[in-house]
Amino acid sequence: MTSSGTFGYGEEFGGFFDVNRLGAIVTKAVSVEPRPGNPPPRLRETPSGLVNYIGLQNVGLDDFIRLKIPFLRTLKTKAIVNVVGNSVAEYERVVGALTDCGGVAAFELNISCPNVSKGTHFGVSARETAKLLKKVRKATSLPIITKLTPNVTDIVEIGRAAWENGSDILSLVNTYRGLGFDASARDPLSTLVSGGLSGPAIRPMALYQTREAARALNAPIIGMGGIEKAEHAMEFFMVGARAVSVGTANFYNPTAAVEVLEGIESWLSERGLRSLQAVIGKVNRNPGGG
Amino acid sequence: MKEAEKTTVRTSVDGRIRENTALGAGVHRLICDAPDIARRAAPGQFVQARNWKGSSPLLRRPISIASVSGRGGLELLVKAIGSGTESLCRARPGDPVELIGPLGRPFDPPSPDRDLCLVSGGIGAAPMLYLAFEFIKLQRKRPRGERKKTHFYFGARTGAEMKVLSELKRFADRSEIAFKLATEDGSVGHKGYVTEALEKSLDRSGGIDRIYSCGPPGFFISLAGASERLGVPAFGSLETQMGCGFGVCLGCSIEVRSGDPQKKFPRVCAEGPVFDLADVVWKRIGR
Repeated sequence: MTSSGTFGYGEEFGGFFDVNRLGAIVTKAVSVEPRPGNPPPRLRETPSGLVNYIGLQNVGLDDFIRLKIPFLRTLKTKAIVNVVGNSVAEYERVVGALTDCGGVAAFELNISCPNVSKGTHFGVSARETAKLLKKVRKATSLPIITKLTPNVTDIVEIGRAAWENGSDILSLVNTYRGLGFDASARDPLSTLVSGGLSGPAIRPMALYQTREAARALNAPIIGMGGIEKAEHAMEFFMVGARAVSVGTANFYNPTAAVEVLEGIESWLSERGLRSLQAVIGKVNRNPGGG
Repeated sequence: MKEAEKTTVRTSVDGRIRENTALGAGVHRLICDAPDIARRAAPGQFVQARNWKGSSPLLRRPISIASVSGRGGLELLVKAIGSGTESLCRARPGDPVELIGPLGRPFDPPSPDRDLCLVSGGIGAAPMLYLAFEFIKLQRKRPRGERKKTHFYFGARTGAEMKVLSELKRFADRSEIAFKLATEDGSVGHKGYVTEALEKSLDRSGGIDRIYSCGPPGFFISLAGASERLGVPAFGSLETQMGCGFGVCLGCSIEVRSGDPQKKFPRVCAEGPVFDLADVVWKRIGR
């Protein structure tokens, strides 16, 4: 699948490949009210990564239904809607409104975006996460994915709170806190971006946290963080993810997602394996083995 | 003048380098085989280019298109300022180059019935060269007495950067284009900024009613002031840190004056790169 914020609402990549070949796409975050996003600068390249401070810019619930749902309804692949809110009530409202309008296969709750000050308070607290899931669970019968932030002391604690209160699936990781600027610029402050780090640089950290969550919890996990190629996807499967998502790589290689998909198929067939089951959690079978 | 095809379909192309010519001051002219992009491009548009493997640097580099040839060639001017542009400047004929394009909304085609005014600073010349070539080709289709003139104001730090104009100088004669040069060190033309030369000597007898421009942020800020004082609107092809370059990441936004909050942060790669300089909130532009 593709990660929220890296694939628009699905239409934008049509010129590069047939998006219906993917298992799913995840839309940009949808909030009740339209959000203009943060003033620039919003993005800065870092070693093998980038820091973003986009600010959850989106068209808002009403325009999402009017302008984006019609396209999602035409997709053969699954469309997962990423949802963000300033309050439990806002999550409930978006989820409630989109459950019955068609075109939506599941929701991914963005409890973890570090860019909007009100948003972090869910994802860093097991208690707030549990409260949110309890309410949102009642608002829809569609599958709920909870996207976890890695900017916490114990991601398993947060994951457990979501899993035990109605989340069907967990996805991890969202971006890590990071900062970049040009010290040689005439005005360094004007180039400064403090926000979320993503890309290949975070993959070792994302793999670590994915493995922690997979070993401790029975929840199905979607793993992500710096996947560019099929072998990176295999790393996530081996630490226990049952699905993977390609994000930042879409920006510099618009066909990355379908290349990863095809690469996974080749990887398995080259080894005479018929399914990912033989691979999932392969490096987790020695608990306490480090 | 050809308008860019109104399409959201851009392609990712595996192009090939035909030529790489060093123009001095770290600037290279690359001619790439990319017929799919060349066919659909228009002045003001750019490509996202990459000719290295791996994630260092991570992102493609946005490079303005300087002209297209009938044989499917795309001309790019690249200045080596970091590892990505350095890699592009080292490309040899026959080497592959990955391109996504054409990207961005192009300049509104200039009126064929008025003189054309172009102003650029340094490597910003690329989209101006493209406008000039297309305009001059169009004027050549008209009877001699009706042809309109191009006025190209070009500024650089030193005279070493003037070679970016050499192809245009060979292509057009003095009746078709007048160059006004400025260098900060005074080695060529007016000593000082090109915007000063513009304010002093803008010739409106040919009906110039707008300025087309491209250059670094400091240049645009000066030009925005000159444009206001002259009472002639200026449109610029802007540049900023970009993520994807094709409208998805929302990372390249700049701030413009707008009553509508949803229109305050247009993407340079999609709503831009061309903007009316009077609309841009320059204090938000990194420099």
